[in-house]
Amino acid sequence: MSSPSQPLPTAPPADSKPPRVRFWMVCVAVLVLAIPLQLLVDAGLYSDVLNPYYLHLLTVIGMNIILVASLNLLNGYLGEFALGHAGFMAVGAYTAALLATKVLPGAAAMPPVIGTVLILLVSLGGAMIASAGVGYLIGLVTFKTVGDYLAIITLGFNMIIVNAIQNIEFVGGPRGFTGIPKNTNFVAVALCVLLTIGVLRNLIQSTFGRVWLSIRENAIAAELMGVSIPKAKNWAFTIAAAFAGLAGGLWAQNQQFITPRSFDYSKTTEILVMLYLGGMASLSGSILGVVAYTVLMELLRNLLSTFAPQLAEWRMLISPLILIIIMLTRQTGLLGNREWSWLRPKQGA
Amino acid sequence: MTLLRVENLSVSYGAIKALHGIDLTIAEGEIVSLLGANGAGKSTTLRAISRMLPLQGGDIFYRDQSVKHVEAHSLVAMGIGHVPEGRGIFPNLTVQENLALAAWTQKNKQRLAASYEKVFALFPRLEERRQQLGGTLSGGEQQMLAVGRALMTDCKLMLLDEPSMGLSPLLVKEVFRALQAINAQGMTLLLVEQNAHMALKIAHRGYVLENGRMVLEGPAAELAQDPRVKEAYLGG
Repeated sequence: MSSPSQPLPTAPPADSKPPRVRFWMVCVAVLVLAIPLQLLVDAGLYSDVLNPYYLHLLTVIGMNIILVASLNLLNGYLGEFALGHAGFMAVGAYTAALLATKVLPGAAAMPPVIGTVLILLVSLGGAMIASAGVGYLIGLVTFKTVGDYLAIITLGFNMIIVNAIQNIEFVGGPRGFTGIPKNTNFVAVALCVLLTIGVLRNLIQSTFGRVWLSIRENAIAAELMGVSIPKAKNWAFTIAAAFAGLAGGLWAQNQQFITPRSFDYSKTTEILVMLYLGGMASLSGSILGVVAYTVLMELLRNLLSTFAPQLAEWRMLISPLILIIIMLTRQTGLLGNREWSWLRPKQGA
Repeated sequence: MTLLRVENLSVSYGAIKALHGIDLTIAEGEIVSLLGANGAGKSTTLRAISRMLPLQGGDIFYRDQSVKHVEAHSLVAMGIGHVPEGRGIFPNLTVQENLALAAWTQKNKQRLAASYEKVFALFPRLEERRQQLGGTLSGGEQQMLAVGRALMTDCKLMLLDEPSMGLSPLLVKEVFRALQAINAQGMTLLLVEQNAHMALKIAHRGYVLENGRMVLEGPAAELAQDPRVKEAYLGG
């Protein structure tokens, strides 16, 4: 697999219309909305309408989109069932936290914006590399396993990561990692989401990425076409892990406090619920699933706590219930494997 | 020139021996058909040649080079294409995508375009259905797609596992005509078939397998006249 993202040599079909909305238009629209929003909230203007809570909610949605879209690569496109995504996120979160507090505190003395951007770039880059490395190792270990066995191995990996961090005193052990500077804001997260979606979209539509689909469709035929299955799988794990690490790095520098328990299998399950809610093998589904799930959970929190404050935690009962209902009534999720026009290939295939 | 030489090949599935040391040679430009009853070891031979199965003994030479230790996916780049039994197309990808994936090993854009042209010239039906999902094609079209996909890998030797399986007699004829056309363009074919009648019609030479042993070999016309072949595979 020497040259990634080689464009697919396809001729456009005669009846294809150019998509009305293109990816770059969405990028511009998101940034045009995000930057003034961030500035207004920071300045405390119109605080009765532009509540910081809403901005926080959007930030969480953004980080979840990165997580779900990257898991989609493994569970949707490659067709495996990976259960360790929160583990990759933990690696990214702790790497970024370490880089931001122990390695680069000097950068905080720089002019405010430049210092923060520098720390953010280095810590997120480091988080992605560290997670990608771990993802590569997992790919090596699971090299010949498929299906249930792979699911169990990834689940075990998630537990190992969480338990290991719990026992490393240097990063706070079970008490968690405190005092991480808040280096992210909504704009930074929005940029990362656009980057993730853009990279995944182009990868999946390239010959390089279509190999994952071919493995899902028919592994034997894929091998007879000259595809090295272990190699392709390893790439998928490495790339998915890198983006999960990116989300973890953002998470750490947004919450300013991370504990091993926030990355255990219940986080993995939450990511899975959003993925299945939106639809497998669809980036549009990943986005829609995250937005629907997050908004629903927040609405339920408000709704339930109007009756009694302690009821709010009962919303956690709702999320597994949603998963059951999806599986019973609409296995394809909200969108199935359809894509919005701006996420479809240019050829209109 | 000998393109493929199989020497004393044996393969086992666990304790059961499927091939007891068979020999086979294919010269460049030939159509060779491999006949035999169910369970004789025909598919096993193909899968061993394309390195999908581990060898127990013997060796396989492609262009006088041993491929014993070559992995299945690397063999494709060396020029051996395999059309698997039951076609094995990608049902949820379009015809175009199925073909594009097969060209995975091809980096030269001009030759790639030429490959597309070759496939569409051979199977105009595929060009009409470029944007249709592979799984929605008819059985015959799926077989054409599987052959077209192997062509896209730019192979020199094509291994075909029962291309006539599950097709109507009319479609079988069409597929075999296409195979002859491919051969006329210089492709070497190793054809595994139940339909001995059709296979011997287009083949230059043939081999007959029985219980994992090669029992007969010779020019196709001679085999078609052989009383044993007639009785066992051609219906008397």
